Amino acid sequence: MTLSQDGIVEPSRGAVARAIPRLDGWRRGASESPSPSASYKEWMHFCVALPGDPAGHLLVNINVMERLLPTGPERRPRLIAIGVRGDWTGVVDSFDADQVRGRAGQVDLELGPNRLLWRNGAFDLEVHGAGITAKLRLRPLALPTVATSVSFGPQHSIHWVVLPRLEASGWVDLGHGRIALDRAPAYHDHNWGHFRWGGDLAWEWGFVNATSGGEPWSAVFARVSDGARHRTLSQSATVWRGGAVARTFQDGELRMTCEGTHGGPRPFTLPKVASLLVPGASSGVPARVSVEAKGGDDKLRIEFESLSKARIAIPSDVDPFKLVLLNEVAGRARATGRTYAGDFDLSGPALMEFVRG
Amino acid sequence: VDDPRALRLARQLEEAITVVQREAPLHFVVMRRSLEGLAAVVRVGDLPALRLALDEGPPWVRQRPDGQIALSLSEATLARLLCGDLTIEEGILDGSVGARGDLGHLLSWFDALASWLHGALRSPSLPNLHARFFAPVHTDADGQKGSRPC
Repeated sequence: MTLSQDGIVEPSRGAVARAIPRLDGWRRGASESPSPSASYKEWMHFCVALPGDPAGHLLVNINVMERLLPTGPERRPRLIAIGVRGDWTGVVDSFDADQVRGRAGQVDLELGPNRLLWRNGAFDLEVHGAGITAKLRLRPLALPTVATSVSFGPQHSIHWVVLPRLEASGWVDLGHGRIALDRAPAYHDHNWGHFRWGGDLAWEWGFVNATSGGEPWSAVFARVSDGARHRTLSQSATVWRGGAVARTFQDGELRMTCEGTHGGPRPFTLPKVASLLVPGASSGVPARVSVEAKGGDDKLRIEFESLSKARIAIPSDVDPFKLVLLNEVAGRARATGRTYAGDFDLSGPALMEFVRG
Repeated sequence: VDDPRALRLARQLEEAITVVQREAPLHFVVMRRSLEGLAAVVRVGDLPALRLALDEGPPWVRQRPDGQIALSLSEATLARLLCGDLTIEEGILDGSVGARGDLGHLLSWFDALASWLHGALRSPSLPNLHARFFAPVHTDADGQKGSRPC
């Protein structure tokens, strides 16, 4: 660790490299037997900014989801890869046990030809999906947060670890040729816990990426509410400067407001055939989101504007004739405010996720 | 079913129903209840008509032209539906999907289709079903046939 002139703790590369395997390993092995309640979920999420105006994005979600099937509890690893650079594209693949390599406590996981490895202080991520491929080295520039719990209502909670700043180098192909990346801004989080899709639950989550590596600030925000979004269960917004947290605003310190409706054509949907069940363009995605937070002398304002969206349809675990829609929204955002680490005014590409169902 | 292309489609439809019956039995029961006493005749491109009825079977799909519900679409339109590039509603509006029959029967058919979709999305075998539908077919006369995967 080093202490900068203005008192900001900057973690050394060695500290980051040592922390990741300890904090960010898979909590349960992908090939383990399902839990008795068949409600365990765990996923690692990577978002990489792609060049363009508006900026493109690659989202890779490696997950292990349990659910109760008529034939018994199922635990199935999946890979979801979606990307946008003008149009959205993507794929969702699931894997049988003989295609899975990885164990609890380690970051490394191989799903068929797709690989996530932790090597020499960086994530090596390889994606080989139909129409979307990538080979990336993602080097963390910040310490991961310690695992925190997020209430998902009575008897349910999930835990998450956030890494707001990474630099991604390598290439991404969204079906129109390779896009070379050299230290592009990236984001990562890791979530695990027990809950059921389609329960009385909705959430909004997002982050603001720095446009360039020279910008020291980044911000992540989230709100979890009941399904009708009448009651907030938990909410927070965290601001980093460089590799260290400058301020976390929690619950009563912040207010998130959604305005308007993001229109446009029927969104790109995964699995693709699920479009037949959600044929409309309406998605519940707002046109704009604002977050205002204040605590002591510190304050934060985030203004997010939705630009385009895709959705991932997940069968409800609760209602056999409903789907939960994860709306992935590319946009731009500006975050301004003040913490003990200084004033900030950050603008850049941003992603938000709106879970509705 | 004697036409080889119709036979392939009939087998795919049969398998699609069998997968839901096996892996999402609740959805199969609801689908069968929606279609009770009804038969849907599906015409894909220039293939012989296939009759789909769930009251008796398997097999649920046979080469017969009689039924209360008549559905028609091209092979390309069927692929667009399965790829999420087109919805049933959009297809009916732009004329690429034909749906004829008593309104009540048509609504029952769409309820059955929705039940099948919910069941299929919950069936671990859905990706295999999808892959097999889009797998290329080789015929002696025309070389490779089949839809481009989405």
